[in-house]
Amino acid sequence: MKRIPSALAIAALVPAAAGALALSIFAGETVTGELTRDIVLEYRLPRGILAFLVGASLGASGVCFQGLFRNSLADPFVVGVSSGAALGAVGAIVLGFHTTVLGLAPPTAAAFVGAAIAAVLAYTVARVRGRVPITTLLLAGSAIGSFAGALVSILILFNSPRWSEVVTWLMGSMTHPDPWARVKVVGPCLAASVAAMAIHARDLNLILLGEESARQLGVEAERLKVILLGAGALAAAGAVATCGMIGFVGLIVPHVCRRLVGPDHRMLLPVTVLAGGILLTLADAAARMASSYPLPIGAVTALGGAPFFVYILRRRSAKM
Amino acid sequence: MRRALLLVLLAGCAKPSDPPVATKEFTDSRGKTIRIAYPPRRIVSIIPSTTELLYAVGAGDQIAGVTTWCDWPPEAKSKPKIGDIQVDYEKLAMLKPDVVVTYWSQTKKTSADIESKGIPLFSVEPHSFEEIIRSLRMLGRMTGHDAEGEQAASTLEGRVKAVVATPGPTVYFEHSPEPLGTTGPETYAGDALRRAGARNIFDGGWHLIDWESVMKRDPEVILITHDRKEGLERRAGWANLRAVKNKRVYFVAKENYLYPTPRLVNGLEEAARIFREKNP
Repeated sequence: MKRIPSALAIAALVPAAAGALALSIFAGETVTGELTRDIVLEYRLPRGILAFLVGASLGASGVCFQGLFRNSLADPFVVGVSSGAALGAVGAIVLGFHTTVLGLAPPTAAAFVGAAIAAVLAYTVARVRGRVPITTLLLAGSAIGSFAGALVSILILFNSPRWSEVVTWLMGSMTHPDPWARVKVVGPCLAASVAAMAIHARDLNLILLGEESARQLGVEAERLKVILLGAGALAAAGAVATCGMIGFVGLIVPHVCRRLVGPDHRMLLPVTVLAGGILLTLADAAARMASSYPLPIGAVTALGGAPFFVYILRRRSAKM
Repeated sequence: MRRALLLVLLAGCAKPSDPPVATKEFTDSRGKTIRIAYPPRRIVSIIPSTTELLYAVGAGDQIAGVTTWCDWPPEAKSKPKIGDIQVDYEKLAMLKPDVVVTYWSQTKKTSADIESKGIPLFSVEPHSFEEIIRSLRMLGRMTGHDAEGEQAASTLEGRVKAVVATPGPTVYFEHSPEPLGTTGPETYAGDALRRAGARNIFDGGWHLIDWESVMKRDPEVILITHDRKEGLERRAGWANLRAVKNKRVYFVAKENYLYPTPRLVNGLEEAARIFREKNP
């Protein structure tokens, strides 16, 4: 597949993002009546924005971890961040926490705590004599993820009365009645993490050459790992804490974008952020047009995204 | 607690060779004919609503096992437990039930498993007041409490009929905040609301909904049976909903709406009072 000039990609993606948002406002039944303004400005618009921000966060986190781990199977859910967040949220639901923390609903707040614990734990476990070998970090993260996942399963068995809430959360959902409140949570997380990634985009490029080479070129590898692990985890936690577990976007969007614009993170990062946002916004709009029943968004992204990814893979193989 | 322990022990020690007993055939809500020992002395109920119905017809003493969720009437809490939604088949077998009572469509898989083990399974499945009343009569006959079943049925019937509803407000009923869950008129809860005069903003039975569809219908009254009041005001357009502006959002006890048992009539009476209120 021929690479698209990066500037062109971004020039095309920005209006596409605006288009996706517009579509998201018009998706579903036409509304009339007294509450039209509220439905459009308080519900549909923020829901579209929320979908965009969550997709962008997952894309950013995915591209960051795939670069940092030099592993194309890395996604926002490695290093146990998502399982940690899931454990936090499901725990809060099952144990019936009611108090809001810093204005966050209990499952959201607990998801952040869970994600942070998982990331710090993975880092601490992997740290040997002041260094964190990247493979060890990946493995430690996956062990912590499995452990947290097991606890989640047990919690689900424990408490069935709020089972549907747990399932909704685990399948990912965009149908919250309070989308602005969630935008306010995921927005700052995305901004902070993308800023950190953007500042270190060049270092991410260098680390692709291998840690030793990067070090020789002046990259402070250990510091870089802390920053990128933190940034990737924050982006993933923001997305997962507000809308639950939405798979696929964080793994696939960075791949597709890398094939389109190449591996330079200075371009790859903004392109992935935009493309992730557009994908999730469109998926949510499609879900609303397809059914009046609130569909699990994670399933929708995988249903639509997987065949597209297969198509991209095949096109590439055919040329080789 | 001691009583619970004693019951567990007694249940565990049920004699393996009880003398042969008389049997009788009954037809349950599925239209299936079941032959059971009559009167059944060891009844297991695998869902809270049937436990409550069995007590209502005076068959409480014959109940040998219930689920951990069976908390009404309070006596039910001290009965031996056979699990929650997951039935522990070993415990169930140890109780040697004459019959297992359930609400079929809410426990299909478990019920089919129990039936496949050769244990008689009797289903009642009320989707409305009429069917709750009929279920009381069925359970009364099946447990050998014909008169008490009839009594419970006619008492309930009297209270239901005494509620004379006038066409009332449009109503949104929310039993689950996350995901948003409601019912249309085709369930027992929906039947209670309808009889109380509600014009339900949704059709059909139990289902999940999108908040937008509530905003679009802008109900005059909102009834909430869950206890998650925090966060309501953060919902899109909340302050501009008619029900909110007119202060007609009511928090009601789920026990009076979410079980197909005689307690549902408390919900009916309460809802009828609420719907008659004028906008302040």
